[in-house]
Amino acid sequence: MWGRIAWLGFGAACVAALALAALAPKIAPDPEADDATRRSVYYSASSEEPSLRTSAAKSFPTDPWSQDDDFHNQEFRRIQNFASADKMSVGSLLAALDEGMRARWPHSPSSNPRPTVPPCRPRPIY
Amino acid sequence: MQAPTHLLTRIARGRSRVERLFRRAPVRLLLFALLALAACWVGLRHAGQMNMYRDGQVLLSYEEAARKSVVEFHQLPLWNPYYCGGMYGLGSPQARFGSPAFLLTLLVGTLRAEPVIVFVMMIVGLEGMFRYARARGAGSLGAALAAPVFALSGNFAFSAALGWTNFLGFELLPWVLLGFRRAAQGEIKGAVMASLALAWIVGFGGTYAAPMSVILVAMELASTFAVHWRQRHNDRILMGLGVAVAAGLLTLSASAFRLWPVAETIASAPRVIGGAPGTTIFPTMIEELVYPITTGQNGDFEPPGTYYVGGFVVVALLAGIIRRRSLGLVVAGYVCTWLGAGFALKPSLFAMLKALPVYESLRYPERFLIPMAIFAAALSAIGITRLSAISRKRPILGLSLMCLATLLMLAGYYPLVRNHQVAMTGRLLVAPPAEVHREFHQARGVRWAAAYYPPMSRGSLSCWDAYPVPESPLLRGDLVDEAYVGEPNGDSSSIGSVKTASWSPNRVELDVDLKAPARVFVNQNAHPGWSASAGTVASERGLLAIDLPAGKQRVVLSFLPRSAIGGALASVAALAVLIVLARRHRKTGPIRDRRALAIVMGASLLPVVPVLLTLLFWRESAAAHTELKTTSGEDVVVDAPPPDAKKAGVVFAGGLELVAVKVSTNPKAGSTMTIELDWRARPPTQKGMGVFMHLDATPDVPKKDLTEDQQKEEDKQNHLNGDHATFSGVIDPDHVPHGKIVRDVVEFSVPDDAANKQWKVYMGLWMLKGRGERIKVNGTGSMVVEDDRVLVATFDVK
Repeated sequence: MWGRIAWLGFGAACVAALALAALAPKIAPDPEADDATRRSVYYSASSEEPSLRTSAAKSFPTDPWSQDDDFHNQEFRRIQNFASADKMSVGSLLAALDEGMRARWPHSPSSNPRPTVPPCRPRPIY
Repeated sequence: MQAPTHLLTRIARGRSRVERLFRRAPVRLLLFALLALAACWVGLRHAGQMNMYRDGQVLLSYEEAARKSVVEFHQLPLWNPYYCGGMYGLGSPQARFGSPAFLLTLLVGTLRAEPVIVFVMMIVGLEGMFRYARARGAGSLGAALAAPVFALSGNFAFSAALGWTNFLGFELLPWVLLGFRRAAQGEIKGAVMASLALAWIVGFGGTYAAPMSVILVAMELASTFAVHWRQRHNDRILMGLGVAVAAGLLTLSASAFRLWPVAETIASAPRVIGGAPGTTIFPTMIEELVYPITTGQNGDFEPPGTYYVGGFVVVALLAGIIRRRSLGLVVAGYVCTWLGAGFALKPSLFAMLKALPVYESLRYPERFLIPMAIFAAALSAIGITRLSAISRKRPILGLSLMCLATLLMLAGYYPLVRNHQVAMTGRLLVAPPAEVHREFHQARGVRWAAAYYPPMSRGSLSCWDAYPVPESPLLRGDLVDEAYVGEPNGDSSSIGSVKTASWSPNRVELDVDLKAPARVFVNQNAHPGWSASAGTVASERGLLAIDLPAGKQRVVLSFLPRSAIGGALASVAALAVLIVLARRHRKTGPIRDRRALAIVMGASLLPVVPVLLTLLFWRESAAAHTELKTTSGEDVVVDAPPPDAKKAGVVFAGGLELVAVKVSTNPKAGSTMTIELDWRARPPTQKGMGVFMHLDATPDVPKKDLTEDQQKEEDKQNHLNGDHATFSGVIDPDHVPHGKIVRDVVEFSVPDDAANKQWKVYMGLWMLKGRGERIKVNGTGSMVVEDDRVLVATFDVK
């Protein structure tokens, strides 16, 4: 009998784990950015691209992949800042970067967003 | 006198009752499930949220890409188009979907499944540790008490917090050891257990657990055979060896569905790891093992607690260590600690290990502390059992020590569980991205947010993994259609037109109308596993392309690599053999006759048949190796240095000669300049070398006149580093083809504040994969050489 009770207890613990995960509340997502905001974020992000790339090149003067990776890290932080300042979803702003580049949205004349990336070459030493 | 005697009798009886209780699987599984539930509580409660840790993002994207393939497209997760411009999903070493845990992902979704997988793996680890400790001579009480010391140890806490769910594969290691131990005793059940556990580890993305298990298994077998040898059971050694070899073969076959694709990936894109990492035993390793995690803000864990086993095991551990029969466990634990110290403990066992293939790509030696916890737990379990045995002869001493050890072990549960909760609380969690079903496109993307892309039906070209993922430089994140002819986004009316008619991960249909034969490009990486219904599949600098004849047609591109089919067939065959062997030997004991052994060994070779048949009848071109071109598309391997290069003739002791040097003239601040080093091999060439390159400017003010802070700032401005591991990013220094010149072209971004200074470029060779010492210069040629470094150029930046 004790064995049966223990099996039931084990099953209950497993079901509890699954139920906890399945029913865990989501964080309410921030609203999607509207078209004007997305275009403005694309404009700002693409305008900042040259300066962010220069800063990345200084950190990794001879490593194209590391430069690009560092640039994307800074770019993502900017996107997170935009999103948290205006309470917008990060996903919609990342999508705006993609859409803007594909649809050739206006960007600062001094910048020319690169549509390519250097091939992945992780650094052998950190 | 009567009262203490009565008490001792009651304690002894109680201990026997608990021993019996823990021998019953449901009772201990209930205890283990409750412990795992407590440890995973925080993770389970936040299962609907997304972990923003960078590595976790990438690993999450792998799992989500696999889930989408199965659920949305009803395809096997072979090709992952959502990352790095497309990659062989089954061949991605860290992807974890090749295991039974993927069923949970399919059941409740990628995010919600993650903590449930951790919970399940923890129970698997607890039960495995219990059984392993029992097999090593521990009683059921000791084994049950000690199991959490391994299965809840610190690495599992911080791996779960970082999203490194694949590291939970380590929980299967006790099963692997137990399986091989039993196999070495001639038991078929052991071979079955070992094969299934190790196949699970490999399928679960066990990039560290799988290679480490080979070392641990070797120690386990040595320890088992040493006992047979001492007892002069030569025939048992033979039988055990035979079954263990069969277990090894079946393990390889059972894992082949992942092992073959991963081996293919790693062979085409080897991971280069440099440096001489190490962990000092005092204080760092002790901090990692004994002190719990105090904070884990967004993955930035400091050493305390990251391999936590706790100090509460000390009494039981000591009691376990001083038993003669524990020698094998003590040695194994010591070897793991020695390996875990990396290069910090001399002589470095880790350095020796890194000389071996596969192991050369291990970066973090301290991860050997994970299996070390297995041996610590087993010794503690044996310690409790030993104290229990002592109590029969010396009741007061034995029972007092056993009670103390037991109470301490129980007290240790709280920090073990708490360690998990603290680690999980430190995660940066956000709302998961919204699912958008739309036409697929490659985006330039952001790998730091890789998990956002599959739900958006986008791929991220921005890419990181622990190995150089084969990725074409021609991939673009701005295409209107993912297939094109002529120039990307250009006017192709004179050549024809291409349009994507339908898209899914493993199958792309194109409507093509060509005026003349032409090459059509698809904005994904090439792989030999792609085939087309018409024309010839090609690779254009790593980009997927098809050479097609003129005319109007629908072309279907399909991805089905040979290694996926061959590997899967071998694994299915291995499973069939395992089932047959398990049924046949269900009621028999260990194998004791040579005929039975011959049958088992013969059966273990059967899965090789489908591998051979696949190799014979499925033709596929070799996986594309990294293209030997510079970033500007020039050849790296040439017959002679460029005519305008300056002759150098510097001979290094490592078997390389710096033949010539070329530096672009009149560099300007903010521009990119090129430094080219032309190399020739003078075999034998030493392995593990890299190039160091220092660019030093003359300081405006002498260093002695500066404060410490000013000196640091001056260092930043006047010293730049261009160290690199491979020539032009594509050839290892020890792979320079004989009789050829290899161009090492370094593009150097000249910083804005580099202007109006004179710069000197020094370079040399050093042991990148090792202690970092410089390679001696044996012949200086026409260059200035000091301290085994060559002055390559001096220039002024305008």
